Amino acid sequence: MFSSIRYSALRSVAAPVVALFVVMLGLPAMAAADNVVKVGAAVSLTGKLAKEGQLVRHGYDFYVDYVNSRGGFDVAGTRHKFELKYYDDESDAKTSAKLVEKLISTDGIKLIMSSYSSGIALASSAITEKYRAVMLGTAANADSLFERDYKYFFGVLKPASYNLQETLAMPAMLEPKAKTAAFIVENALWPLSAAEAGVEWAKKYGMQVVMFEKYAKGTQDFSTLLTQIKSKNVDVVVHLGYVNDAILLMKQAKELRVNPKNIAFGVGPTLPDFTQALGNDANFATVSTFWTPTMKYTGDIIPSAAEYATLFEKKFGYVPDFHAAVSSAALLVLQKAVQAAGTTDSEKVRAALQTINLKTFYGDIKFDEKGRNTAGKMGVIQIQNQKRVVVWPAEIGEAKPVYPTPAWEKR
Amino acid sequence: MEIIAATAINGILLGGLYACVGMGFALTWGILNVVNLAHGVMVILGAYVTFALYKGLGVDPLLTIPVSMAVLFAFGYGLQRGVINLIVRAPVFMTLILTFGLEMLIINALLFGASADFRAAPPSYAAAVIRLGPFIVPVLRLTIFAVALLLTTLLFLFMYRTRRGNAILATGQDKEAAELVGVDIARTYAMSFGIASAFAGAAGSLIASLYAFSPVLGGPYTLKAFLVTVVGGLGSMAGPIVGGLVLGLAETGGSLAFGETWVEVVSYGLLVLILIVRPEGILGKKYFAEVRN
Repeated sequence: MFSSIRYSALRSVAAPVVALFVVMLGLPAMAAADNVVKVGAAVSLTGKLAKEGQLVRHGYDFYVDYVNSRGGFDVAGTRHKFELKYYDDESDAKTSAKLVEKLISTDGIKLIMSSYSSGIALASSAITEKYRAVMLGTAANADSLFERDYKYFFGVLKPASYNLQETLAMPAMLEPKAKTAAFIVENALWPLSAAEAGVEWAKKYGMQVVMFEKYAKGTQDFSTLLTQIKSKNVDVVVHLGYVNDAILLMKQAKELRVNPKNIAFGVGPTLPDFTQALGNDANFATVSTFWTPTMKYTGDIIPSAAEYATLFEKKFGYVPDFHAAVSSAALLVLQKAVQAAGTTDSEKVRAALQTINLKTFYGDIKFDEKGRNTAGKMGVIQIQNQKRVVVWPAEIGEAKPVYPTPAWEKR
Repeated sequence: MEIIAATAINGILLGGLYACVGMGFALTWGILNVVNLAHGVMVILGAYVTFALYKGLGVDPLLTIPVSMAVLFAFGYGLQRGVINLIVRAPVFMTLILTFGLEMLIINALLFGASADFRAAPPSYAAAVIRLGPFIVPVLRLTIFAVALLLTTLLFLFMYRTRRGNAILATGQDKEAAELVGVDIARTYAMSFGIASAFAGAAGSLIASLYAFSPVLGGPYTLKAFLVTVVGGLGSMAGPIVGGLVLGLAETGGSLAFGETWVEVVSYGLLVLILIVRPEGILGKKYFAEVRN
């Protein structure tokens, strides 16, 4: 029960005080909104994919730190810094989708970085597409991600179907040119899809595919396949499967003295287990790779692959592999797109991403109409003296490839 | 024609390895009436013993066979007396559950202790070959085949020519009768399981010399042992050898005839065929080791 005097006095003071209060609260927010580019990321920090999620997160953190500590970047004339908001999707696709929805509707962020796995990205990108928010796929590259006619999803890592692009180009282009290829493929999703695409690459390079055999996981014996390969004098043997099968293949190739011009792997020799189990018998095998610090890439903002690796190692204490590199590169691409668009509005950023054409420490980046990065090239690593060296393409390689592979009897 | 002969040679050599893997399993099933699902992982244990000696002391993997056999014998003996003995008289379902649990326990203990890294213990002559005309025969595989024959012969001599061996056979045929004539059943069971484990250990040493292995490969080896035993039959020492040979030839022949994708269909098709046509196995004796209860 206020007396009428007190009440009116209160009213006359209250209004300006409240107004001042609101302005004071609003001011920093407005100032912050002017200078920060907010990006959201649902990353697997716990769960089955925690290890890979950690690598991806380090990639994001590195880039945000790198750019912010150098004063940020210009967007439409004003200096901006990155602000990355993380949520842990617990390695689960449904959780990721929910969190991405939260980032968009509650936190108002429409620039989203994807999680590690293709399966998770498949779910969360459906959300971003619904809200017309931009999502950059970093370490998610299953071809099915790009077959949905999405306009807001862009993948920086080369799609799985490109795995053998360069690995098969090498024997096809070096003298003596390889003319026949045999595929030995594990009967599982990723190996089969990479192999089927590989067959297309082989044909494109003028090779005839004389064998395409699928084997069950855990097979004990490739002797029949290798005997047939030997009798047909196949030039390139391509294997797609798990590392212990890759080891078995090399061992039996030596046992049976099978000497193709090149034994190529989609994956496997990059793991230390391969050279540990085979010793010098691992030599001359080739394998596809997305990125290594030794590749001679140069670009804007981060000058080179080697420099990236050095700075990354200084910050995190280990040499980065492609997981971290592609994540940092994705943020770099996003920055360039925001700068080109002059705003963080997702429609304009998307338009900018569609026309972007960059040379970076991660390689070339340019997106096709399906959102795939078709510009960059895969690399090829060859094992020489039990060490892994990048040998192809020549522009980015650190050593010359040994081709054709010397016969077992002569090693 | 040449490729058929080469395939046959490869099949026989592969069969020798399969026979080694299956021997211990057949022994356990035949004498103790226990289907040991942990057999494959004991093979892997033998492989690790060999790897440790190979890595640590540089010993040739084939020479470590006596050591891996001794280690696994002790392991199996203790395991049987302590754990498996509890379910020897129980329904068959219990043996499956117990040995399955053991398998998981050992695999995870290995993963924890030795990690999932793939290991191998290739001898220096791993890729030496003998050329017989146009055919290439890897020396290591030939040696492994010889080891399989040697082990089978030793087992045969032990079982049929020694008292202990006879006791084991007797126990397998009729436990109560054996008890009546004074056979120490508990000790006999432990000894049989120990011997079976020793054979698993030997197979493990061979695996280590040929392939890269890791704890998670235990399961597939148990499956192979199972196939070898059912095809070869129980009740005869030569059963695993014949079973192994038939399986090896079926796999390489199947790959040649139908393509690699169909190899597993051929292997398991063979299993079904044997069960229909001759359920006791090729060399099996009728009623010998029917799983009781």
